[in-house]
Amino acid sequence: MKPVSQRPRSSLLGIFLLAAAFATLLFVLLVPKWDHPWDPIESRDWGWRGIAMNTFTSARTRNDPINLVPAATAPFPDSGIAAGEVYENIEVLSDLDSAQFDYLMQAMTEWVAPEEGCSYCHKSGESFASDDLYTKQVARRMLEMVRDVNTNARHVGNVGITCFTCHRGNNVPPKHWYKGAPPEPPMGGIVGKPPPWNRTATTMRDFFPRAPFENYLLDDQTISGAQARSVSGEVAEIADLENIYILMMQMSDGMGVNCTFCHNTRAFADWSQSTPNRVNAWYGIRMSRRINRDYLTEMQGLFPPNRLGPLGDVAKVDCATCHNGMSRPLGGERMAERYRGLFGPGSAVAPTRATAFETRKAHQAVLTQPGVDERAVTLDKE
Amino acid sequence: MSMLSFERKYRVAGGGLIGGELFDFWVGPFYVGFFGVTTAVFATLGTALIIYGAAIGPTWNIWQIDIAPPSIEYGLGVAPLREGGLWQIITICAIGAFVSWALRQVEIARKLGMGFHIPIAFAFAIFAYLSLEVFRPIMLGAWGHAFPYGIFTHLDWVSNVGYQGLHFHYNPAHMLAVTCFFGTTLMLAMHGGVILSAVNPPKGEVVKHGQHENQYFRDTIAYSIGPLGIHRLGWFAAINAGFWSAICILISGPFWVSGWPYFYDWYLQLPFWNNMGLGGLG
Repeated sequence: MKPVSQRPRSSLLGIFLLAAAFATLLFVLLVPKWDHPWDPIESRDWGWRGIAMNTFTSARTRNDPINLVPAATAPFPDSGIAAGEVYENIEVLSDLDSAQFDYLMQAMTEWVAPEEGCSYCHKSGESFASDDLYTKQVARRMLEMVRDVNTNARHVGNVGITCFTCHRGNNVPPKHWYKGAPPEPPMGGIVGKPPPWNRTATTMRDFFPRAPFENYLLDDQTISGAQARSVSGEVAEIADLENIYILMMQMSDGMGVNCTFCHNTRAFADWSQSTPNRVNAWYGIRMSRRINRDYLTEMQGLFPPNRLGPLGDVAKVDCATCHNGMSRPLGGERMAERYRGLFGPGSAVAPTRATAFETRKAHQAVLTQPGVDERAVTLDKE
Repeated sequence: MSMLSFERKYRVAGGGLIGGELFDFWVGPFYVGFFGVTTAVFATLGTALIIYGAAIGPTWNIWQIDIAPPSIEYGLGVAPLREGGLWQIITICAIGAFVSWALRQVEIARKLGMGFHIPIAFAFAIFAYLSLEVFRPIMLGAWGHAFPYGIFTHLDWVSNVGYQGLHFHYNPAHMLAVTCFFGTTLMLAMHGGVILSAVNPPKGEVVKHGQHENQYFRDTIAYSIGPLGIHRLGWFAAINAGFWSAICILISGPFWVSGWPYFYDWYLQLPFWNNMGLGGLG
């Protein structure tokens, strides 16, 4: 047999391919923001053992500086005089002790306008009573909202909210949403969002259409039919399914959890296989809706154009606005109870509500909340 | 037991890894060997424990029998028998049986002077099993992350782990694994199809040979890897399917706790987009 002609056993192509493979490997290892088992990853189970209804946190998700709880200042002793007698033009907090009023005002400044200070709402050189600045009018309405939520919304339980829950030291809460433009020129880029979003997006979530937020966090649409008929009893249109999915992605991402925090994914619709967290989330969706409609949209006219979205609508809340990537905002820190003014009449003590949410063995809790059957809930719209 | 005419020449002594001549015999057509014995012991014990678990469980319904790992509170510790301890012992038995079987395959390959392709391929399946039941739970700090032994419950586990990543199809290693799984089945099915048609000619035609296989694929898809090469390619794609499915579950949780769709945010966050002078697309 003739010997095979001798060829050098290396080739430029081979070297190039090896180098390309090595470069790809380095890129994949170094560029995405991987978590690490030695962080460590912390996990918690929400369902029966073994069926992987688990949520995880890593150093990356736990240590977001946005979730640092600000140090509380020393409480003021009561003055014994109502704020309405000390100050003029007080509408919401006139019955509050004036020292507690000052204490709250000081905190609000730190929560919402730490750089601008008092003059963000109270025009410099004018009386505190002046309503000249739109920010003061908005702040007043926001106070009413917080008092309403802390008094009436069972979603917040006995933890309550403060301005800081959403604002986190910013004039506008960092996580908010606007309506999207319809996907046509001149406003629309891809999927109904105006440019230059298409090159300023920093997360996949920026590409989501806004219809789900309008449908479920502003309008009254009910989330149902997101699974096969055999489980949910009905099947939604494919467009509705996408909207439901997007809303739920927002919910998961905003709370730093995943689908199994609330659902056994074999039967998303089935309340009897869901965790008690789902009941809380159900109230949360309705609370967001109420905040968006009764407070934010209602005072849209107060805001200057630079605070409005591309379609002229006010910034609105979704789950991430309060939660900022934690299943309980600020880790469940009870900031509100230091400020009496944040609770409405008849609720000097925050309503206490025993839920399985706070317990480690959530899966052992019995669902006794009213309206856990979805069909009953649909009929019982607020 | 009688032997087939050609079987005697495969009954070669020696080649054992351990145990010497003690277990170097056949029971009927089956080679025993030291690892055959350990396989039988582990498999029997594990199966008996599963039946015991079913007996102390709430149901004999074959679909609903569930031997679940301990809940996460137990971490990497030992759990009481009824709260996951059974699962722990059964897992040890399963690993013992699988590894014994692979080593028995090594012994047979040595007897016959074959390459180790079969035990290597099986080792990738064992690696995938160990990744699910041992490596990933260790990295996450609790046995509770492993899958349960139950027909319905392990399907629940699969579904829920998928949704832990919000949309598991965005997992890059899962993409590779699925591609290799479908790749190996497609390629080997195509190969099997052409072999069946070659050896089952229509009436009046003769049986075709190796060159026909090459010719067929050169005519239809412009390339034939050859009758030997197709088996190497199928093997390569198959073990890669197992390997990447192990990787895809090992990175889900230990190396990525968020939804997999967000994995690709690095692309949007590359530092140069805003400096490229691109206009909006509107």
